[in-house]
Amino acid sequence: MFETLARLMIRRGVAWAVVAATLVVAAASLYLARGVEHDDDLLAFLPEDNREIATFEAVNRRFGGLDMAIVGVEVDDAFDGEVLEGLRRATRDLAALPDLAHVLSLANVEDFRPDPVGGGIITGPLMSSIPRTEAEEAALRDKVMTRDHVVGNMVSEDGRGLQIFCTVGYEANPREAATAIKAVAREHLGDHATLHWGGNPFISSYIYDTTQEDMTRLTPWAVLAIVLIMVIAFRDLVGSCLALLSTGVGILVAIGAMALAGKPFNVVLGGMPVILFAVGSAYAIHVLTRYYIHVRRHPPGEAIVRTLTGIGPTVFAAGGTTMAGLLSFVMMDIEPIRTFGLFTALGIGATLVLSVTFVPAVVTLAGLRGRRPETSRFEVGLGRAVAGVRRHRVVVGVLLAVVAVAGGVFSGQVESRMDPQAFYSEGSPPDRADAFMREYFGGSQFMQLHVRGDMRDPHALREMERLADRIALLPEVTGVIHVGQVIALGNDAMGNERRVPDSRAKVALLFRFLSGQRSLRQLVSDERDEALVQIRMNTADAGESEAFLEEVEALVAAEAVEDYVVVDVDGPAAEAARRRKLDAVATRIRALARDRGVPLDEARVDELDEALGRLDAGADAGAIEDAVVRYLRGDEALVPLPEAKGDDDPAREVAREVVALGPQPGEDALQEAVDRAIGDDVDDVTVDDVAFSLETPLEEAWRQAGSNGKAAELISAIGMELPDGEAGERYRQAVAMALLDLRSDRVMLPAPEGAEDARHMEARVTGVPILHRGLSRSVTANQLRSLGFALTLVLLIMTALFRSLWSGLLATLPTALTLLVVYGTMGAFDVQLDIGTSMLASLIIGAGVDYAVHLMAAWRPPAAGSLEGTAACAAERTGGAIATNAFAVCAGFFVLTLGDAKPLQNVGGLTAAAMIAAALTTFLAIPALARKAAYTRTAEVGVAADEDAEQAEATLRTA
Amino acid sequence: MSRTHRPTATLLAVACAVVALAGSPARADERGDALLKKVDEAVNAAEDQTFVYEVVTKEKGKDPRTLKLKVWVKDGKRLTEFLAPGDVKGTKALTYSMSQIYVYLPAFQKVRRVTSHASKQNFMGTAFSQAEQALSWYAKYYSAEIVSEDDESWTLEAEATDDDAPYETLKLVISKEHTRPLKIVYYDDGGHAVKTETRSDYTCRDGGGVEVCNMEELQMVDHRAEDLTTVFHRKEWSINDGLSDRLFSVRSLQRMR
Repeated sequence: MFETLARLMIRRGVAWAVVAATLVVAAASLYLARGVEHDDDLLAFLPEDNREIATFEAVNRRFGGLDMAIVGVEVDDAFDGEVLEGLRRATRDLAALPDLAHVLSLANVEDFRPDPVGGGIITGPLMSSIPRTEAEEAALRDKVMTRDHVVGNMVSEDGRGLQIFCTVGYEANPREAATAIKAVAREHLGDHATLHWGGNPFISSYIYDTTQEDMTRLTPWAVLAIVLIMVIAFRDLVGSCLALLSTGVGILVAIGAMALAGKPFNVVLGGMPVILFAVGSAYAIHVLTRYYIHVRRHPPGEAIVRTLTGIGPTVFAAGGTTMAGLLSFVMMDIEPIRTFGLFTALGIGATLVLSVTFVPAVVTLAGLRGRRPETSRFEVGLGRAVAGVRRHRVVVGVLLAVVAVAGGVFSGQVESRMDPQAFYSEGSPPDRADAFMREYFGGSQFMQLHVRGDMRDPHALREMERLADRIALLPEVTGVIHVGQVIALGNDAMGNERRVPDSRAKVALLFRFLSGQRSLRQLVSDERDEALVQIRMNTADAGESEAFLEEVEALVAAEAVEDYVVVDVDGPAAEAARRRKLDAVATRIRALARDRGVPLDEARVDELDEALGRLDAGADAGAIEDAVVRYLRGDEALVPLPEAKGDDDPAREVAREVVALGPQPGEDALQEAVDRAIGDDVDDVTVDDVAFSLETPLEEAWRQAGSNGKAAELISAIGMELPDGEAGERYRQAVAMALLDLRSDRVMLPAPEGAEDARHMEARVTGVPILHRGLSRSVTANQLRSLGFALTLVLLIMTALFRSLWSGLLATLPTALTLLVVYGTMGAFDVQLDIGTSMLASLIIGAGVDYAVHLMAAWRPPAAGSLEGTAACAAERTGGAIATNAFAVCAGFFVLTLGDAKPLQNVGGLTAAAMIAAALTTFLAIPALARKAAYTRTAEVGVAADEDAEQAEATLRTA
Repeated sequence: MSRTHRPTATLLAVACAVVALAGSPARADERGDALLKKVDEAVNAAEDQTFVYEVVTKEKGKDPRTLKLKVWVKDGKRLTEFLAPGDVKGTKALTYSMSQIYVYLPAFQKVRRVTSHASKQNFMGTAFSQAEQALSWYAKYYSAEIVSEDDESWTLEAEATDDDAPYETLKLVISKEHTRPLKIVYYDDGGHAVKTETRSDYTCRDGGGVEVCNMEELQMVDHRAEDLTTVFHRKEWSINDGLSDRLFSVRSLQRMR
């Protein structure tokens, strides 16, 4: 085949046609390449058909975005008027960005508080106006610092940090969203604050952007380094240019084909020129080198025929292995990597074809004769060294075995992990953001507990709250947010009790009232059949995150109730119901203590459980009277009562009479009591209205006073030390609210087998850590698939080339050793297997095996016929080209390590090292293990009785 | 002479231009403000009104949600009772002003007084906030300028003059036929269009010598919420029924069965 091809190429007409066709194809490809689109979508790198990622996506879609971009605002004083004005404007403009589903900050968070004057509540933005004076700033600070759900989330406890939470919409491009957020935040806050960019969209964008910037900046230098090394080593400018030209056309063909196939250019494809120039140009160099040898003794036409018939199969086998390595990426479930593999392989294929068509055609037309081939001192030295290897093959074999074993051991330590932290350096913007958010807000990483169930059912809500409280007690957790808290806030606003209400009607109504709150969307579905518990953790380290993820999964598996029944607390399951209520309330109180920074050590936890079971404090009647008077004098009162005259206060009289009736008085008793108090002063309709209107406030007052008493008793019984001032009082009130759950008449229990009235709910952990775990698993599977594919294909090509399985195995062995060295190094230096490093194996197999191909193809006995001489001769003949290629590839990839992008540093550094290792193992393993005098038939190789081999033999003998 | 007169003439011309330039907006403001007052009078022409609405809210990718309401309006006070669906049935809201509202929640069996300051949170999952529903006297909060006019309508740009104004800027398209809004665009202080309200199909009745008009359909689109759209379809409408002031009291709110 190659002879026929060669004989065509030496015809001038055909040669002209080939050159013209090549130039036309190049021009067409260049035209098409201009239309290739760039795809910057990070989501394209998510593996397809991955169950965990599919679940993440489904939850993401349902809740309108789980990707939280957090703008950290580091300031001297968060309550400074100018800072807050900037925050207000930034929040306003961020909310207008189409890519964001929701924006939340101190500037737009809604608030409510009791109206001390008229009764009822006051609602509106927590920051209703920008403070203009120091007094106003101080007043706002005092107000904000009493909101426990705001402090530590939107403003730091020390008032020196602010956060803006930006939820990126499900279909939005996180990179574009991150860019837009930065622009807005810088515009309004850049002059007043140091800004930090936390959360997954910023981190992934940083990694992507630095990689792309480095790729754009460094690729020309990498290519230049490769070209320079080749020109210097080849010492033939025309030949080098021809080789580079054919490689350039190969790149154009690949990009043009992408345009035709409608495939966009992505960040991974940025590496294509480096790979093609480093690997692809070698084919033309090999052809030209062989031609220059033959043309000294034969006419150019004959030299071309001898060259192509001789080295053509070897070059094609070498190119085939490189293509096999690249094509193995099609086994991966990541679209951009498949595109990279497919089209880079196409580029290699094009370069390969050009090396046996375009290059000989140009040689024919130009009559190139090149430089006189000389065996360099390096090649002679290498020949001697390889002969030495052959002589000491046992020692070398043992050494290689030791390296293989050590590499194998350390390779076993390589962890597959999607660790964003591993992709940025210490002191880089994501690192600084992480440090800021950990110091001021307890971290910027979130995971979610996805709960399915009827969220209008107060028992399902309480169960979710119990799970959330359990999770909140884990040491890695710095905050938990769920819809139960929002419903509790609504219940506080409408019913004065900050807890999940007892009735389904109340929960349903509160959901209706709260449905205008966009932030609710991140916590519960519109159908109220799914909810998310947002869990903030204090670690961004992937190892710790994974361990924590497993801990939460284990906790959920152990604690979550799937099928449940709701039972009366005094029914047949009374004891189980009592225990469950006590357990939930104890967990609530512990979680509240953790959240509010109230110390509660393990010894007291046991006391807490005991104390809860024996609380018997009564309600303070005075407090109930005061509550009733406040209601009657407030604007919410149904009817205004006559004004107080001195000590004669009708409201106080009514309160005294109705409280004296005790809790839960009957309707008639209540009416009589009101009548006794004010019956002489007002008409019967008013008495009736007052009695009617008092039923609910009176019941609330009794419940709360009773619970307040028990909270004080509990705190005293277990010796809890509450913080001074309002913070302590807020904790006591929160405990009192938790204790109200003990009064519930009905409680949920796990459903007995076959219970007909069982209700269902389920909880699963999801979020970005799950996404990363899915990615890690995908990377491992991809690695195995692509490695298996590449190794099998390469072995087949080698076996076909050398017509022997053992010879094929021998040719593959140096690359296998190189893989062990590279992966052993990764294991030893804790470099993780990620999307980038998982591509290494196939690249190394594809490019590295070429060295063995060339060395074994040149493995022919010299005249004297010893294997030592054969080794020396083969090394002299191919050593220069192999070393040049190894150094060129090494230099090209090393240049890529000089940027800021850690993924490029990892891939570039390891590939550079791998190429040197591949060359070394080739010169060690093959001479040590070779058993044959020749691995290719002379006729095929076509350089019978090669004079250069004679020369090498002579050199060896001299040595 | 001409040399000495020329600067004087120039100065005079400049002065006239300055006066003209300064005066134009002033006249436009006066016209705009006057028109806004006329709109207020027209919108609030009836002694009292009673409506039944079907309220449909549509959101991207979701099924439409429907509410049914009965609304009584008198002297700027508004009483709303939710008739459907079941989870809100019986809920009532008594609105005294943009910031003052009493809510009766049947599940809680109590009246709650809610003072709302500058809150633009959407109400009950609709595209409307309490502020927009209660905003019926524009001239009290805004000063307007007529920016364009055609055969059928004036277009006004209204800037907030009162701290309680819910939005910084409004753009109103006023029907020349009915002197009532056809379209209102609400802008925040950054100039972003936040919501667009459209009032269509006005029908008019004689309100005892005064023409009372009301739209059959009222639509609000919230641009900040992926164009969440709520349409009020008027199902019933009566005017001047002699509604009692007691209907608009807290006692009535809780006692009305």
